[in-house]
Amino acid sequence: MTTRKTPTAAEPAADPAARATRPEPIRMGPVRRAGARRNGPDFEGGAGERDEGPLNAISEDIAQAVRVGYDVFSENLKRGREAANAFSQGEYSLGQVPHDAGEALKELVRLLQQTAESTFDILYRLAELAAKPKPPPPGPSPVPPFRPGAGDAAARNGPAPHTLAVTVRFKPPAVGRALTTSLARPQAPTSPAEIKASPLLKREGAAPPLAELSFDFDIASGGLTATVAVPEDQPPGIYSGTVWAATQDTPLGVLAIELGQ
Amino acid sequence: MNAMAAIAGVEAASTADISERLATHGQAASAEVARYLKGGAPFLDDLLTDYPSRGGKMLRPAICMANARVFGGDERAGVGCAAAIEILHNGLLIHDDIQDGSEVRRGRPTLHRLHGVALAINAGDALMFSALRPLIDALRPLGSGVAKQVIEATMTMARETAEGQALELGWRDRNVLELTQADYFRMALKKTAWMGMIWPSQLGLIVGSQGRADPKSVMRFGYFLGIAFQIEDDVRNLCDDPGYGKERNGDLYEAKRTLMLIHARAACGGADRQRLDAFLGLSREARSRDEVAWLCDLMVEKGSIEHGRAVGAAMAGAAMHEFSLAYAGLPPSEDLSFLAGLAPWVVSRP
Repeated sequence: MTTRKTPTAAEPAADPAARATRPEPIRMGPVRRAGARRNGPDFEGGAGERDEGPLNAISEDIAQAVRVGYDVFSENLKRGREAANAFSQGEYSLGQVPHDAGEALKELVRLLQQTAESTFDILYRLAELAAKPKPPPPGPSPVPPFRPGAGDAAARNGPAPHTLAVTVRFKPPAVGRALTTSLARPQAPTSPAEIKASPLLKREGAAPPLAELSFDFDIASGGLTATVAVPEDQPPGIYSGTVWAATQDTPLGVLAIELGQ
Repeated sequence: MNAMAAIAGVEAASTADISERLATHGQAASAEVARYLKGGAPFLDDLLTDYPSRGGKMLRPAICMANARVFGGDERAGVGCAAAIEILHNGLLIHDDIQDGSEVRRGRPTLHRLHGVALAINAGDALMFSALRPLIDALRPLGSGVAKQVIEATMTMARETAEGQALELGWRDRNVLELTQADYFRMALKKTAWMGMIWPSQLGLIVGSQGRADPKSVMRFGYFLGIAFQIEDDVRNLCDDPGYGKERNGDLYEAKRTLMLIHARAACGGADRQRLDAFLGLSREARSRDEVAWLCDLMVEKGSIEHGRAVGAAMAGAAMHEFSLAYAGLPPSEDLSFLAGLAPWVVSRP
């Protein structure tokens, strides 16, 4: 790690070569003296004045900073989720807005949503068209299938659907439910042992990840069974992770589950 | 690869390797930026290309492109998004400089000092809208499902960034004094981490995985990386040479509510507290060099700068932990090592 000089305003002008230097550390090991603290203010409360507060280990300040960091992030996620819920239900927090203005704004939001969706749908169609070969040459049209319905049969026997059903089992059973019902079908022949998932992380708040997962072939549905081991004291909530096949670079999708109380 | 450490089995790239990766991805994104900003409109196009041509770390585009690659896509999948990110970032920088009254950007006078506020605002607006072009071009082959995910992530980022900027400006303009460490983290999450780290990671993940990976999975990594980055930037601003083309102690002249300022204010009392509050209540022009020097000394005396460095390092540690969860199980690659090495790099970068 490069180090840097401790700044003071009274120091002379910058020497670019000296910029990336830090002073020798004041100490080389942890402060073990109980209650030792260097100017550590209680600035979670913010309001209190103090010149010489009680001495605590500086590492406590840092641990507290990390805790506060996680709390702030969780709080922000929670607010975002609440806003998204309101948005998806068409509430938009317009309870206090006059009716006409509220309706007009709702209509605008709907319009913008539809416009964005339509624009990209159109772009997608254009891209598909651009990727297609040239139009067929002039001349007679291709002969239709001899028997009515033969084309449908051909379609039925054609390429398999692009998705793969997924059933989630829990160990122990009945501790949660699956939020994912399908994944993308691998592009090459793949055995269940070649399918892996990243540890399932809790969406909000801190919790140990669920790392013990396995996949198996489900004869009944023709899809996959994912088995997730859930430790006894695992906090409830939504957990998710990315599913990969060893036979390809792009993931098959996200496996999401919800653990109950 | 000259690796410096392993994070959950992934070799973290060394500083030299990270610099190389930043240069490689940065060149690709810069070429794309230049292609999209090419033009000859008077009073506009020269301004659009000014900030991008001054160079920069290209951290945001590199994060996007690396994520696109580790989640299965090739460079093409991420470079359009990376260009969009860089163009938008430069547009926001122009507006930031005006709002902050900054005089220097990347070692040269800010755009509004060179061309006036009106033309600079116009250039910032144009850059932000211009960012849509490479984004749409990048998304077109990936389909509407992927595009919708990118739009959602982008709308969230835009809202969070505006909220973060509003917090910082509001605290300064309304002279808000009673701030806590949590307030600072909240502001830095919105103002810095979302646009600088979370959004680029998410865009890369979405286009790389073709919409099949969960964009939320990289949020915590981006958040802690962004907080560590912001604290380090704030500490450097107090150094002899901030190292990124900004004026020394500019944050003190602007009375920016940095972690160190919040810490110093909480640590002092009596006459020092009164003097500090009086300083914060002044206009930028009225803050004298002597008072800035006194405040800088106060921060050293109260251990605020040391505290800032320690918290920055702790946030980098949290980012390393979150990296090990978010990127677990991905096949090893130079881009994965690059992402693994970013957390230690942000607090020790040259």
